[in-house]
Parts: sequence; C-alpha cells; structure tokens
Amino acid sequence: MPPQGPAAETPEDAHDPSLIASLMRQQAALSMRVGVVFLVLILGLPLATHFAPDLTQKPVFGFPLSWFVLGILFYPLTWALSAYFVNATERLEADEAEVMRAEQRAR
Amino acid sequence: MNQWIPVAMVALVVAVTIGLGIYTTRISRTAGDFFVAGRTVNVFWNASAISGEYLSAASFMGVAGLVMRFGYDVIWYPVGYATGYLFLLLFIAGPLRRFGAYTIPDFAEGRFESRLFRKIAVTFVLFIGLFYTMPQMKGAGVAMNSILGTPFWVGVVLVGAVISFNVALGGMKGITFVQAFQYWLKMFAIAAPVFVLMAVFGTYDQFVSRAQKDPSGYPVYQRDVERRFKAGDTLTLPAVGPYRVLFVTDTYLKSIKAAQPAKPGETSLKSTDFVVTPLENRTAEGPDGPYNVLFWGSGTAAEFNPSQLRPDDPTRLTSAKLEFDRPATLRFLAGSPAAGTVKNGAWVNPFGGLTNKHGYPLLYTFSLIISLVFGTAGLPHILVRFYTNPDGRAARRTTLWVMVLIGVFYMFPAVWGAMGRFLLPELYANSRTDAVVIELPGALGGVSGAIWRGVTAAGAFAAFMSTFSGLLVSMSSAMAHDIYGTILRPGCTPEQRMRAFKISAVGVGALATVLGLASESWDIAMLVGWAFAIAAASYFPLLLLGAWWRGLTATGAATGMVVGGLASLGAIVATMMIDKKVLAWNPDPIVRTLMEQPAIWGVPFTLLLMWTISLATRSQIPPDVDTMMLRLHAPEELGMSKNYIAEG
Repeated sequence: MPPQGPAAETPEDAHDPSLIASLMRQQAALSMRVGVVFLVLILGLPLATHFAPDLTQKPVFGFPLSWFVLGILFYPLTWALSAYFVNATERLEADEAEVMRAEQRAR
Repeated sequence: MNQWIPVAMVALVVAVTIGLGIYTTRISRTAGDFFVAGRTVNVFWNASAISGEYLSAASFMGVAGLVMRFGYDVIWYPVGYATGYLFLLLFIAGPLRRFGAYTIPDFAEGRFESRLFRKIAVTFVLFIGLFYTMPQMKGAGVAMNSILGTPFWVGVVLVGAVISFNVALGGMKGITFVQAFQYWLKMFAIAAPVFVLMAVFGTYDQFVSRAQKDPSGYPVYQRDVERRFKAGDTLTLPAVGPYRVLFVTDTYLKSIKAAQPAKPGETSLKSTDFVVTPLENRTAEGPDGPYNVLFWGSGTAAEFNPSQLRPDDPTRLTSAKLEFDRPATLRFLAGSPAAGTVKNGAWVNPFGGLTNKHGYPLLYTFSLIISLVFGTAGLPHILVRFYTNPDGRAARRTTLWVMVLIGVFYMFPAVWGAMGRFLLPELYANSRTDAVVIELPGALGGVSGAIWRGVTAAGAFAAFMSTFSGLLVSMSSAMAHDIYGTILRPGCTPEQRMRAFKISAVGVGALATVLGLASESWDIAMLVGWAFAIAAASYFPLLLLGAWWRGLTATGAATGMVVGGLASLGAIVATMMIDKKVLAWNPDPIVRTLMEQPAIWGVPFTLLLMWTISLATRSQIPPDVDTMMLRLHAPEELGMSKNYIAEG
C-alpha cells in the first residue's frame, strides 16, 4: 500500500500491491506458456523442413505436407491457441476478482 | 462493353465509401468519436474494422503476386501477418485498452510521465504511417491503370481525395463502419472467384501437386503471348526447351549469351549455339560508329533450345539471355515453357529463391518470422484501434475474432499464386505477377470473366481505401492530439482538438497523395519492410515491457526504441543501397542475411537496451507505478481501470 494518503479513498489504494503483482505473475505465466507453444510450432516448421525434407514432402490431401501445414493448417492452430488463452485469462481474472472482493469485505 | 463492368464496380465501391462517410457524420460528433469512436465499438464491428484496415493492397494483391513469383517461402508473409495478432493478444491488447488513451504516444507519456517521450513516440507514428501509406497509394495508381488505362496519378488522387474527405468528415467512428464493410467486400472478392476458378480449372491441391510432380519443369504458356521490349531490355529464357518465338516486328539483338557465364575450364557459348532458325548479322549505326547486331525479319519464327555448357556433362544445361538493341515485339507460342520464373521444384519446396538468396535460408526464415510476428504487434495504426473497445475483455475478444477473420482471408492469396503460376505464366515475363488477382478472372472469358475481374478490382480498391483511412486516422490523431493538443497547446478544448483533427486529416491526406505520386518508380515492398522492422524493434518492446515490467524507465524505453529502431532501419537501408549499388560493399553472406532481415537480432537488442538502461536509471521509476500496473491489469469488474483520457 502506498504510504501517503490518510485513508483508502480511491479504489486503487484499497488493495495490497502484492495482490496485483500476483495477478500479473499468473497472467504473464499464462501468456508466456501460450507464446512458447506458438514459437515452438512456428520456428519448428522451418527446422523440420530443413532437417527432414523427405518427410515434409509427403502428400497430405494432395498437398506436400510443408505446404499444407503453412498454407492452411497454421491458421486454425492459432485460433485454437487464442481461444484457449482468452478463456483461460478470463477465468483467471474472475478468480482474482473474487479474491479481491473477499479481501475488501474482510476490511 | 465488357471492359466497362470492372469500371462500374470500382465506381460503385468508391461511391458507397463516400456515401457511408457522409452518413456517419450524423453519428460522429464529439472529440471522443473522432479519436476513439466513443469507445463503444462492439466486438463484431471492431473485429471487422480492424481486419478491414489491416488487409492492405499488399495483402490483397501483393501476397498473391509474391507467392506466384517465389512460391512456398512467401507463404510465411500471410502466416506472419495473421499470427502476429497472437502476440498482440497475449501481451498487449488487454492492458493497452485498460490504459484508456487516445493514441500510442499517450501511452508513452502517461506510463512514464515523460513529455519528451511523447515527442519521440509521435515521430515514430508518423514515420511508420508514411512508409505504410506509399504502397497503398502506388497500388491504387497501378490498379486503376490496369483496369481503366488511366495515368498513374488518377488512382492516387482518387483514393487520396475520397479518404481524406471521409476521415475529415467522420474521424475514427466514421471510418469504423466503412472499414467493416470493406473487410467483408475484400473477403468476398478474394474467396468467391477462387471457387469459380477452381470449378473450371481444377482444385488448389492439383495446382500445387502439379509443381511438386515435375520439379525440374516450368509452367507452360496456355496461349500465344505477345510482349513488347524496349531497347536495352533483356530476356532470360528457361533452361528447358524448346522455346518457340515468333518475331512480330523486325528484331535487332545486341547479343545472345549464356544466362550463366562459363566457369574456368568450360567452353563459353556463342550466339549461334542457341539458334536454329535464320538469323543474320547486320551492322547498325551506333554513337561510336557501326557495330554488329543479330537480326530477324518480322514474321520469322525461331526455336531456342538450351545448350550444354560443358559437352561432357549432359546435365549442365544453360539458358539463353537475349539483349535487345531496339524496341521489338515478340510472340511466345503456346506450349513454350514460361520465361522469367524458377523451376517448379524451387517454387514449391521450402528454401527457394526468397529465403535462400544469400545461402542461409534457415536464418533468413527465422528472422523473417520474428519481424512479421513482432512487427504486427507493434504497428501504431493497428494498436490505436484497441482503444475503441469498450473494455479490456472486449479488446481480447476482438483480437481473437480478428485472427479468425484475417486468417480465413490469408488462406486465399496462396491459392491465387498457385493458380496464376500455371494459368497465367505470361505475367512472369514482365514481372507483373502483382496483377494476378486482377487479371486471372479474365481467364474465365466473356461476361463472367469481366464480372469476376470487376469483383477483384473492387476488392483491391476497398483494400487501398480502408488501409489508407486507418493510417490517416492514426497520423491525424498524432498531429491533432499529440502535437497540437498536447505539445503545442496543452489547454485546448476538445472542440479545438476536433477541428485540428479535421485540418490534419486534409493536410496529411494531401501530403500522402503527393508522396504517392512520387512513389511510381520506387521499390515499394521495401517501405512496408521498413515499417515492420521499425515497429518490431521499437513499439513492440516498448509495449511489452511497458505493460509487464514495473522497472522500465522513460530513459530506458526511449533509448531502446530510438537506438534499436534506428539500428534495424539502418541495416535495411544499407542493404537496399548495396542492392542498388550505391554502396560498394560486399559483406559476408551471413552478415548480408542479418542486415536484410534484422529482426532476429534487432528485437532482442532493443529489449536488452531497455532492460540495462532502465536498471541503470532506476531512480526514475514513477512513484505511482503500482497504481499504473493495477489499472493496466486489474479486471474491469473491480472498477479500478480509469481511462487516461476520460472525455468522450
């Protein structure tokens, strides 16, 4: 809590900074988890085409695998990651809001 | 009559754009409407509008043309453009909206309480905006020219005038509806013709696998193709034969050479090695007296066969390179392999002509991915739209839908590229692959061909107009809100700022039009590359650390942004100067790769600068940083978010 100010007048002052720090930590951890999965996928594809060219030329639905993954499959993949993230982050915020309200009531 | 159908459809799109613009003046009244559309745009409209703004001329025409030209490697562009929004979603969308400003420079000043930083941030907004504007303008001029045959300036002035009018009239709120409409138009225009074309000519996978099954072959002309050459033009024929040509006019060649020069120990080829039909040597008068040229009379035909560079190695075929001495018209006969493109194998497989040009394809690809993904998350004219959401939660949901809307769109340019390669290979010969989206529907023939050409032409115009309107709003906001309303006249009223917005819209619109007129001969793709490189190495690190690290200081952030952004820009500009031979320097290929695609070192370099300098200037951390962080991250329902700018 900021030392200055006699009473908790604005809502910002009414909370322990450690609570918001913990919310940020959890949010950042979630974002990073999803981000790392995405980076592994997007940087892994060129690695795969470089080190296993035969595999990535195998036909899938009439396309070479590499073309199919990059030209078509990648978009739905990122939609799934985004949808997961949006839901998870909203759940996290709802939980955190609950904790904060409980803390407010306790005062 | 048929050529008037596309004209009518383009005219209709322009008219609807103007009409919607006039209509929205009724609902766009306050300063908040002008800068952030009153912060009331719902998820559907906002996602459509952001997508409409994002899908520019480069996305609508350019990506298809580049896929046609370079093949697989280019698909990284649409994938990067679309998936960059994931990083925006993960790290930036929610906190940025909760901050509740009007412009990105507001964030720079408000987060760090530094006026100087606003000035720096504003400069970056204007630079990135202008770099990004010119391709739209050039696209408008070129497309108008190919549809209507009007001079280059007509399309530029038309788009410049219409959009400046719209933005001055309706601001952010006005263009939101126009851009949303334009998204759906573009989506229809890129997708619907593809299904019609596939029904007639074969499916997407058939075109791609055709290339895969014949890796050493080339696409073949479907019909006779006529092409005009100027004196001094060169033409490289493919390394498979036979290549059959009819000389429509009398044709004088300065030389026929092997496209690849002979290595030591190899026999170099003479012009006669390539030619099987009559050819005579003539003398012509040059500035230094008479000299020899090779001559065919009009109406003669020739068949060029590739020659073996080294007789004992039958695989070492080489193609011929023709250099024209005078203007001439040639007809390439149907069935000949297409000139001006690479072999099917290099086109369809990874690490072809684009990423492998300096010999480090993996490094090039990685750096390209980083530049696109982080650049997208740092483009100010996209970021500013996040303030139009009602709250942080809506900002995230909007981003999710934007990824779906643009992801569906971005599946299609590659289809155009693959079909164009085999159906319209004549575009390779004069490097006109950019026109594939406009030209290919013509292959359907007759009235239906003309209608579908009209649809794609209308889509292209929607692309120039919606992207330019977004850029113009972001630049006008920077001028009216950041420069006039905050730096020059801090105490001015919202009404004065709104008037400043209108004046800025007209002024910046006029400036962009003038720059657009000058862009006809510029290498425009470079400018978008600059915009992405600066955004990735400046705004993205600023927003990432600014939203998540309380220890970031104004000095650290500003130094990182300026030094890091300029380092990346400098590397790209130097590359361009080497390409144009202005700079006589031949760096190591690995250095060359890193200069052309600087993001792989540029982004970490900026982050590192921001981190170390912030640690060294720890005393500058604003005292209320915890309150700031609370506002950026606390869920709305707790009532802790407070708009940085409350009015409107």
